[in-house]
Amino acid sequence: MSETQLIAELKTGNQQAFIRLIDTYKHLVFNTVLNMVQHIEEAEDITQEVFIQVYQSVQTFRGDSKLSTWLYRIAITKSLDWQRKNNAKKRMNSMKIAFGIGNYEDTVPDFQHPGIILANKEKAIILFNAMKKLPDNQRIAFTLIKADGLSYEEVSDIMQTSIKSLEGLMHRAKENLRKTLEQFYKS
Amino acid sequence: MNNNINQLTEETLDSFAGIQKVEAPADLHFKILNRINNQKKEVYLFRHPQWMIAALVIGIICNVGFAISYHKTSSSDTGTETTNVSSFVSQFKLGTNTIY
Repeated sequence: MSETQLIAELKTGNQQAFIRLIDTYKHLVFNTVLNMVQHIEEAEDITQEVFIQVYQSVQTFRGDSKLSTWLYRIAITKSLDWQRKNNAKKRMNSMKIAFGIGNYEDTVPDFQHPGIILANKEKAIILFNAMKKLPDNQRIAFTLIKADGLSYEEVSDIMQTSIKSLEGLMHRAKENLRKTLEQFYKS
Repeated sequence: MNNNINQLTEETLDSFAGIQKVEAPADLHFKILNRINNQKKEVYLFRHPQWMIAALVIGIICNVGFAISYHKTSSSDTGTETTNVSSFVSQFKLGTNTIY
């Protein structure tokens, strides 16, 4: 079944087509989300939300971009939403702990990424933490290119920007990360 | 010292090089379809609130019935007149009853 046929079937509400969509793209969505949130259980939950969003809004999909590009965009938006909520939750929990009414178990653990090999784990954690300080667009570009291994062309489609702008974003992302990492290692 | 820090920084920047793809759960589509079906049920209940209205009406009727019987019992215990139920109900409706 071609992508156009699949989209047409999805628009008719065909459940088999929806299952096919999930089975085709679940690894792509799951890994993108996992690289953004670095937490396997949360990544599974967000992946489910991505496909639910697709199910609910497939009627509005015009087919201007590839289906995978649309899925990447939804996955990134959902991951960023989760990060904002999680940061707010962490702040609230820190306050609760300070007042003696919070619980350390309520805080989502910072890092659960089984795709990182053990030898790289310590450095990857440091890099992920440094990335949290980047502006969203720099972090998205860096994650998609370095962690997901996408090409500049693919990422420029997903982020709806030119390759030249993307190169600028990547350059600034690396510079900012270098500064943060150097400060970290000096301290 | 500086060379060491620069080297560590560059190594850290390259630490995603060996990142591996992780298998998504095999039963993902079951979980997603379950969530969609549950959401449909919630939307159905929200869009068809007859059952909520029915429960509310039954609740009010029971409450009024209970209040009337309570009023009758407490009035007969103290020997006062209890036959004017309609005036009690009207008081209850106006929110002037202070039994509770």
